[in-house]
Amino acid sequence: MIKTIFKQIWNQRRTNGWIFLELIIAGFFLWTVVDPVYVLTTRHLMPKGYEEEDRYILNVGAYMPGHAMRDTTISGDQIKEGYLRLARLVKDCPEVESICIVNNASFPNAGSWNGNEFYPDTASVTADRHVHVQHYETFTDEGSDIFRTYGIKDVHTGKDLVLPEDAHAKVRCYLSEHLALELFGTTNVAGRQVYDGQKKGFEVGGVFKDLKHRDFENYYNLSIKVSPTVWFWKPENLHLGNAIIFRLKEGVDFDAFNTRFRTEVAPHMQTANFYFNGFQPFKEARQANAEMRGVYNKLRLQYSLATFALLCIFLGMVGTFWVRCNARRQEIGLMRSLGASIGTIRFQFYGEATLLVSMAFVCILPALAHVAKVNGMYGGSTISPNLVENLITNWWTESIPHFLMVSLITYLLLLAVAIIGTAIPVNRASRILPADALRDE
Amino acid sequence: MIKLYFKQAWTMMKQNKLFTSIYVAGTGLAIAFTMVLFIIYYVKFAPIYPEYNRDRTLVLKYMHASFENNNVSSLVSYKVVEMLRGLPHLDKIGAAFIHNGSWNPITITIPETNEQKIICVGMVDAGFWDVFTFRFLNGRPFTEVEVNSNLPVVILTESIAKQLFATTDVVGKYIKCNGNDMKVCGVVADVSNATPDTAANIYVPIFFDEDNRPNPNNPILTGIASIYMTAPTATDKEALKAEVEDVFNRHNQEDKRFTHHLNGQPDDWWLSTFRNDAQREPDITAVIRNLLYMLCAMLFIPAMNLCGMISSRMDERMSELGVRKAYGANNKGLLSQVLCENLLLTFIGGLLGLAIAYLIALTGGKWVLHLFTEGYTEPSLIPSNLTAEMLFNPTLFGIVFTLCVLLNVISALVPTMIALHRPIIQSIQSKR
Repeated sequence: MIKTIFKQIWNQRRTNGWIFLELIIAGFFLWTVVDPVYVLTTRHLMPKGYEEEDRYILNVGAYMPGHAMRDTTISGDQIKEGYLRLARLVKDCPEVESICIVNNASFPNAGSWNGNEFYPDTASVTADRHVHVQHYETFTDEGSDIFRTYGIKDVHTGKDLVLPEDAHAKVRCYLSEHLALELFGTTNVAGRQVYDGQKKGFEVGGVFKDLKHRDFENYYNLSIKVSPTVWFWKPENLHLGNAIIFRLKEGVDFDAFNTRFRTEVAPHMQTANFYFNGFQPFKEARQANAEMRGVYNKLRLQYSLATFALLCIFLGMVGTFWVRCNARRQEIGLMRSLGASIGTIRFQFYGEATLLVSMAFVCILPALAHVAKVNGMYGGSTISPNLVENLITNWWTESIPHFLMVSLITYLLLLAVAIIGTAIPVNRASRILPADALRDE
Repeated sequence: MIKLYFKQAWTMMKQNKLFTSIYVAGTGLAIAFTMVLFIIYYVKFAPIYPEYNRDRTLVLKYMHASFENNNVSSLVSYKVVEMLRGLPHLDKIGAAFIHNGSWNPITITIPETNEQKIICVGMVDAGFWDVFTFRFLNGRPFTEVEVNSNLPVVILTESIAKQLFATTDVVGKYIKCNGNDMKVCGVVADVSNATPDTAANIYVPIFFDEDNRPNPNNPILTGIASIYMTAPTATDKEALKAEVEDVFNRHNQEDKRFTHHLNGQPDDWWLSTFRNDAQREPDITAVIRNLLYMLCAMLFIPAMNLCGMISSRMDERMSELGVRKAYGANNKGLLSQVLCENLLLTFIGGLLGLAIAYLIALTGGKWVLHLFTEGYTEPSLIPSNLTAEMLFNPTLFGIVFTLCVLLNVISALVPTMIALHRPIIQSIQSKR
């Protein structure tokens, strides 16, 4: 059968030539379009390292300088007390499981990004053994618990990390799994010391599973510093430098909570120039961040271009095989009258389509490999270009697996669309009665 | 003769419905995607409300200053406006800071509910209204005195005026912005988010936030504004660029505390749309390379498709061509006939493509125009609509026509030439 199919392809090489050329150009183009989609999607599918469901950001508004309602007599201490009052009001709601107060770069998909250098306790901080880390900071005021609120898991137990009872009395650093391994070669590092770029030492409180700060990025080494009390260098901007995050209890209806909160709690939040300005679910923050950084636009563009290429191939295959089926009506009639089933005829045409796609794809593979080697594969990132090299890579983004996966996906897409395009004329032609087909013979 | 060709083409279209449908769909697909690409860039580059002076506008968006081993990059200090006034080839100069509420939001009070609504605010100077061609429905722009004295005046867009007062006849009335009463001195027609340099819900004097006022004792020229200049004519832009550069060279010579780098600015309008980094010039070569790659794919992939179909049809018509040639028709005449026939189909496909492109642009209006923009955010309340002038204009129709002709030539020329080069006998015998 394969031999016959090859013969057919060769006999109709002139008409096959155009669709073959189209498959080559479209296949090459499709590969370059699929590459970013593959990278962004695999990053998106990696475990986040925190829970998104039932997590919300409290939006705090403030009457800033120049605002008519601003009370200019309020002191820095009163501002802080007012801010903590907001956290307390949320924490005291019966629907709320836990809260945390963090700085404004310390929640997933926050607009800001803080970094630092960390050194293991076995080396001098002046040596070149530092690891660049992303840095979260949280505070213990009002029972703030970042691990419980975000659902950050202990790397050993797989359950939410637990803050020690003396968390408010001592500053500790918690390390992500990859960071602990990179610094110490092990994750059993609780109680050891890490040093930051200013040679300041911190006790390691524990190790948590890697957490992804931005949805469409790889993991970055992350440390979470737990400090006693909230601060900001400009007290009147305390609400801009920090954020209050809360987690609702399981089964609580957010809409009902929101309605009750706005009528019963929000009026009490007019304090120290602050006011309640709504909630933002974690999911919404993630989507807004991806939108703002152009990730969704990139995906929209790639999806549009892929759709375009696949539609072209679909039309090309429908057109080519329609003409071919019409030209081979007599052959189909003969085959049917000699006992060939409809399935056999369809199989032969599908075989032709599969071989065409496969041969075209084999032809473009060397060119794709060359492009991948010279230009590199897609590695777009939304973090600062000088930090990109610190992103933690995975096997599926290493050069060879990356190339093979993108090539396989492209080939399967091409093949699927080609088969669908072929099926429409072939199914119609294969149902023809032998007598009708042979009438012109 | 041409009429006859088209008549024959019309008859063949009706006879070969499948061929016609696939041909038209293939052409439509190519034209639709290419047109979306052109619409996006047309909106970025072409004169569009309220930026009708784009062809003679220069933009100074960022300032990069260095001192000792430190670097500071930011928008531009308003001091620069004063430095550039009076340049020989400067027609108008204006500055703006579009505050979209992501940091330290500004609110207006909705009268009926007393609700504080976060809005996008354009903080602008008096020159801004000269550089850009806003359509005032009522009232007037800010005066120099109002801007410099930071008087509580505001210019509303049509939709905000209607939202607050249910009319645009509101000059002299007051709105509450950040709790303060501000007097409406004008109402302008809405500005689409497709023109992000000028789009806002309301406009206030640039020193509405007193932090925007440059400190005379601070020598650094980084700040909060983007600066827009117009030259008297488009050809004067190069002279104006040289004059601006000269001003900064002299400034760097006179005040050694900071070295200010323009990094190739001021930019022509089109170039400024690609500048997103204060420290680097935009990589235009990469942008053009990517666009050309996409454009070629959008034209050549469907063209291969159409080539295959035309090639099949030429096979079917070999005997007809053979007979025509036997009676004296030359290759040139037959080639023009086939091209004319296909051009009819291509134009029908072109119209379909244009309709699909409009559909994509209108339904995806929120994101389509920002498809090639990194860091896209939709400022609160601003509609991101496409207007009629963005979609229906001679330039776009001209592009559609050119694309149709190009696609027709690419797809029909080669298969027809191959078919026409066969000997007459072989052509006539092909039907046997």
